[in-house]
Amino acid sequence: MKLLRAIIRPEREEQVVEALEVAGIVSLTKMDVLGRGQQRGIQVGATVYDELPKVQLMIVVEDVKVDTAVAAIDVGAKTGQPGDGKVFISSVEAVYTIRTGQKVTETPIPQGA
Amino acid sequence: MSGQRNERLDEEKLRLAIRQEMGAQPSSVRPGLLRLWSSPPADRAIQLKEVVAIIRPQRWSHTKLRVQRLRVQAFTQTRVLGRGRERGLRYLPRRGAAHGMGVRYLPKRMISWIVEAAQVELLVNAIIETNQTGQLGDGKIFVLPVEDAVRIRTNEHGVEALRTEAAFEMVLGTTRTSTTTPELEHASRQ
Repeated sequence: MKLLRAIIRPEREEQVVEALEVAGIVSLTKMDVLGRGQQRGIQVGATVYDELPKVQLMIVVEDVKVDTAVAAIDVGAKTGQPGDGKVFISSVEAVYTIRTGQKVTETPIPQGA
Repeated sequence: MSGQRNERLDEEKLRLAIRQEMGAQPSSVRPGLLRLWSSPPADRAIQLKEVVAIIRPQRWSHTKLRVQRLRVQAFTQTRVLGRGRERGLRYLPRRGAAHGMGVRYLPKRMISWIVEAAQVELLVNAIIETNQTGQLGDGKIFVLPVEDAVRIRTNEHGVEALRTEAAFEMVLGTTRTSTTTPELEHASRQ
């Protein structure tokens, strides 16, 4: 399992969620965050906004679905302008469903596929 | 040992360089600064784990009290919105309507604990125990590897950064003789 943290434009959130849904990834957690990237925020006239509002999506997916998820986020979030955001991928060692108390095991990749 | 000394030297150098840069104009940060950083040695890859739980907001206070009994005091918690496989809540559609009304995201509480690897199982069990209602939406627990932790005040690394010193424990009003919890000792005896 991998944990994806996607930091995206707030106005693009709906589109990203929709794209993920199309790709078959519906479970997610979202939170409002403030941040800046390499451009150090944006400058409008004399005013510098260096803490821009962003939305962070947290998605845990099976290893085989990582590429799909990243592609879906890309489709939903890309405008081509600076500030589209980043996706960070880290590994998850174990996942538990609290309702059942069971460890979630990854569906094995079919052999010879 | 010499390797350790070199690395400490590097850290000092890095800190000095950053301080100098901070005094200078903010636009003059050189990307080369980061090259001074040395990667942590292998023995620092002590087994630290992050346990992230996404639970029902109303269960959080119970969970906090239960987890405290494991002497895991430190946590970070956030109010988040989320949904699982059920895509939030949906009511049955009224007659004639194509879709039912629904709630797309449900308020959840996300908590992150950084613990030693030996404590993960106990912590996970405690979270499941306090949050299990058997209904959909109880939440998930994720266990993630952590490479290193640093206590900023003292610059301690790894497990040392998590351990509470004796002096601080007196403030908390708890005394502890060993670093393992009673429950841990019990578990290891079994």
